[in-house]
Amino acid sequence: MRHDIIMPALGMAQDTGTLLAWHKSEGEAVTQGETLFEVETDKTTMEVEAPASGFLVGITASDGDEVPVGQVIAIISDSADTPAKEPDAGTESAKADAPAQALPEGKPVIMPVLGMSQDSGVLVGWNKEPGDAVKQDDILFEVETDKSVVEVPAGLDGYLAARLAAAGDDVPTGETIAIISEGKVADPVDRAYSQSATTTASTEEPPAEQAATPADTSPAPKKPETAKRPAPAPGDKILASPKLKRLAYQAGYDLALLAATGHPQPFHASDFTALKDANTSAHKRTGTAVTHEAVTRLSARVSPVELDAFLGWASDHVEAANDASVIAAFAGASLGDHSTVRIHRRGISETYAAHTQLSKTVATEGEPDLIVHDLRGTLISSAELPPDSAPVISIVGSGNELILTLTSIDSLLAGKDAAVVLDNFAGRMADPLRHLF
Amino acid sequence: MRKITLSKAVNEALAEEMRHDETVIILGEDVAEAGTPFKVLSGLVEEFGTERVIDTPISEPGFMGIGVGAAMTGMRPVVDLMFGDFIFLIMDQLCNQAAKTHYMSGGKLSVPLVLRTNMGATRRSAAQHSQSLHAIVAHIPGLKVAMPSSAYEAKGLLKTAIRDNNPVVIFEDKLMYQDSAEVPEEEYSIPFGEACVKREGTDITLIGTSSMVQVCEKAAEMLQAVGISAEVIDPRTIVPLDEKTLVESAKKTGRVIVVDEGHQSFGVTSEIASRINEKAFYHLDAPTTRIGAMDVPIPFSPALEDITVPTPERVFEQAKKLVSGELIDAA
Amino acid sequence: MSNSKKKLSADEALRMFRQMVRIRTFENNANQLYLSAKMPGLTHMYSGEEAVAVGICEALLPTDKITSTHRGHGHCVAKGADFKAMFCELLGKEEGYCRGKGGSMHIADQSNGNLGANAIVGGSMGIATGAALTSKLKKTGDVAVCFFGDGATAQGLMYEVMNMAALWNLPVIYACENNGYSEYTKTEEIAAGSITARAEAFGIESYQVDGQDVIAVNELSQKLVDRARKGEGPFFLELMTYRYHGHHVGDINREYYRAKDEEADWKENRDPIIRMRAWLVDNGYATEEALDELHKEVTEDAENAVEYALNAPYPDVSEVDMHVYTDIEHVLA
Repeated sequence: MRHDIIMPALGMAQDTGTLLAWHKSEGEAVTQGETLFEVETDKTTMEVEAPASGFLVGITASDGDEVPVGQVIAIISDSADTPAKEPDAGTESAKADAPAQALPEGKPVIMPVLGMSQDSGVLVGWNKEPGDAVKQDDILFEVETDKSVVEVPAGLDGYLAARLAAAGDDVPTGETIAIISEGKVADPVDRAYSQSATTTASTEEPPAEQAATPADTSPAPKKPETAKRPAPAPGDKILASPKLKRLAYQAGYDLALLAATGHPQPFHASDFTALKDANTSAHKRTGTAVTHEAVTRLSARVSPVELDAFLGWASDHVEAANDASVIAAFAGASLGDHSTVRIHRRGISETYAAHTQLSKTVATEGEPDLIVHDLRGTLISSAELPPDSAPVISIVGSGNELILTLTSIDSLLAGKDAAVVLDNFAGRMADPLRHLF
Repeated sequence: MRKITLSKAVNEALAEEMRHDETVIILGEDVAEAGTPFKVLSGLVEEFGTERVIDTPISEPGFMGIGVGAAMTGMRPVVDLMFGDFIFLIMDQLCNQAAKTHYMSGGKLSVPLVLRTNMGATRRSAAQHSQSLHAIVAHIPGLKVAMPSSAYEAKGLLKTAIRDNNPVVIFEDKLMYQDSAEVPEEEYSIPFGEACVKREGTDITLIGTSSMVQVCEKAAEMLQAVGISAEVIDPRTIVPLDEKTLVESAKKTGRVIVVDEGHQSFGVTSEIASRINEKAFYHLDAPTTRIGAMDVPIPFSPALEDITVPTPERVFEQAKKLVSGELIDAA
Repeated sequence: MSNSKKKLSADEALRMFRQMVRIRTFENNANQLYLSAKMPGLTHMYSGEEAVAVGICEALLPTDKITSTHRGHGHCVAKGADFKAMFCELLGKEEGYCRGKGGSMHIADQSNGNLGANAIVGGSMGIATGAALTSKLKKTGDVAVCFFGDGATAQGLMYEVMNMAALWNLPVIYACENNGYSEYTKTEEIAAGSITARAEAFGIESYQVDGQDVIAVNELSQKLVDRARKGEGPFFLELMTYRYHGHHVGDINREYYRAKDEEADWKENRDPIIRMRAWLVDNGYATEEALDELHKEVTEDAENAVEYALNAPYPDVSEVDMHVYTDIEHVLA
């Protein structure tokens, strides 16, 4: 029968105990209850008794050692022979490899710091084989950080004399992962990363700094800017509500331009029109675009014939329907359920809660999801209005056609989605009966 | 519809549930013949007897603990705590035992218990009989907390509380016991975690709990007179909290005041304001502000007591500032 | 050992012996798990007090309720709990009685009427009394036993609930395990006057009994449980016993409050298992060999359960916000 002697957990929150003294020595006979050793914890010193009779063998901790609780520090065995140490697979194999192949002379290449708060990098792969000649700008290896994969150039000319980490290894930053020698080496080293091994790489010279800097073509990933809005002049903080800031950001307007007009702060959502005006006039003066976001522009052409007939019918037969509410219903249905649509027509602006049923499309308040400028019947024959806090569709009559133009900043509506919306709308304008079914 | 007092509404809820389920019992000081000092329970002992309407000694931890044990073994006790201030006496039984039993047992045991108690100042009762301590209870996971704002809510929420399989603490405002409201004759209950939009508006959201709903409604009337449209919302239960309705309203109006009769610091107003800040920030056009009871013990003198609690006037003034875009700066 | 008039059957006597051995064996294994740093947290050993839990619980039906204490493994085993689910709970594993959410100090086994250990000293006195109120109102005939230590007699809650239990004639038995120490302090330094007199002041029938004599404890318990079922409760028992370990497993150097000689005296001369063993052999209920075999079986059972629990999985982290409320599956979802 074999009994493990463990470092006991004694205190309330104890991780280790200090072995003060053994009262028995290796191979000595002990009887159950005899004091085996003394332990010191955070609070007290105590004697630990033998849990069984036998011979004390296999002592692994000496007087004065601090030992984690639960660790086996000796064995009570039936015989005084020291038992064959249980092979520890991990350390044995490490030792077998250990006759550390002497590292070649050369300059070390280290795992570079690439991210904002990066402790280590995962080596994705090597681009050079051991012994290869390398040029300063050659990509030597790829590293994965918390954000991205970065290609790292060799940083100096020479020969890849040692690779001290393998693909997949997570290596602390600053650790040596390769050695580049001046001359070609006969027996280049190639092994996986192990912490102790790298410390044997002896070199007086500082690490090649170039190697720590990734190539210009693949810059270290930076934390994206949280706001793309142009910052106000330093020291001149603009007071604005979060809501107005969001609307300004979405429309690409610059709050500083409003501040420059002397408009009273703090700004709120009710100042949006003033903000828009300030930006529009600045735009005119300078001729520079103030839109900081990509904008989608799409146009469609349809015949007005069916629409005109339908509008006439609707105003006679549908309660409270007029041109504006019908177009709002069409536009709203094209965007999606329960959309709010603002119609600008002949200087009047009205906002509707769009509904597929015309009679249920009624006036409402609030910010629109879609803005329609109905320029039919005016002398304007072409229009591409600037994007607003919602996608904008303009309708102009040109000859026998209506031209429908949609502009939107991409964060609101872009690409395929924008095309679907305009196509839906154009379809309803061309064939209003479609809306009913 | 008929109108009854909050006191009568509570009495009806208890009577109806006791008729439905004979495991429902009432436990507390002077609950039987006396019908409590507020006379809320009058008549119940006559119908259900002293076996189910049980007068206890003045031993709050004792009868609360007995309630917990009875709930764990098949009863549905409604424990009556005469004043909300006495909750400090029963904290171990409420917060260490009732609140944690279901969790600590890995879901095997449960505590279907209702703790009925009250809150509210301006009754000239001074510091130990005037506190509104619901935030302290709401802080403890495992407890649900209901705060009726009228007779209608008092009845509907209490019925839901009694049928709930978790410990529920229900705080009635003791100044509202004689207030009447429309309450249907037929039975109904109000689900937990569903806020009630008491009044719709577009310029500002006023969130109020318990009697502060009335304060908000009065403030909304005053605001309407000056052309400001206020939305008034009653969360009805603060645990669980209908965060969605509150946040949606905040997004719609862009301005929020939270009004609650607990002390302002570390309380319900702070919690709700914080959640709105987290979930509706980019829709806010003004800082979300809190109006709670002053951070002082409730004083006795009427001249002092009345200024410690939120009033419609304070809510009105604050709302005007927020809507006009005045720079609100606490410093 | 007490000379029972109503002679115990061999089955009953051996069952009590086995239950005491099971508790001792459970505790020895729990202690080893702690010392070898395999068990999270710490635990309070019931070793030495086995006759109390077994003597009382053997007088109860599975439907009778008990409430237990931070030193609660003994009550749990005595009320019929299974080793595997208990060790799993001690190690915080999914298959534990409380899915690993309670641990040593909150172990509960509803299937056997154990309403749970309680880490607040005296915290369960209201719960046991409330369980007795349920029994009275629903007329179930169940009896509730409230286990607590001498230290808990210093809590005000005890006096409040004993008062109500006496006023309402509740079927509850207050079982005070007087092991001589209130944590690290001698009981006589924290308790003035007589402990049984506390209950007598409420008109509660009270008894002091040798808590190391399982037959005496059981005989008295049988009588009082029967009477409590008939509505003659409540009752109060002071069971004179001894805890072999310190207040908790880490309380090793304790000579400043308790002499080694005193411990040795209780272990050698008053051990409930040794005494019961001698009684069984003397009365011809069992041979030494049969009892050795019983010991061996229980030891193997415990070792298997420990092994099982060590290898059992922890609960999935998704369980962290489950069981906060009965009707909300994940409260943080």
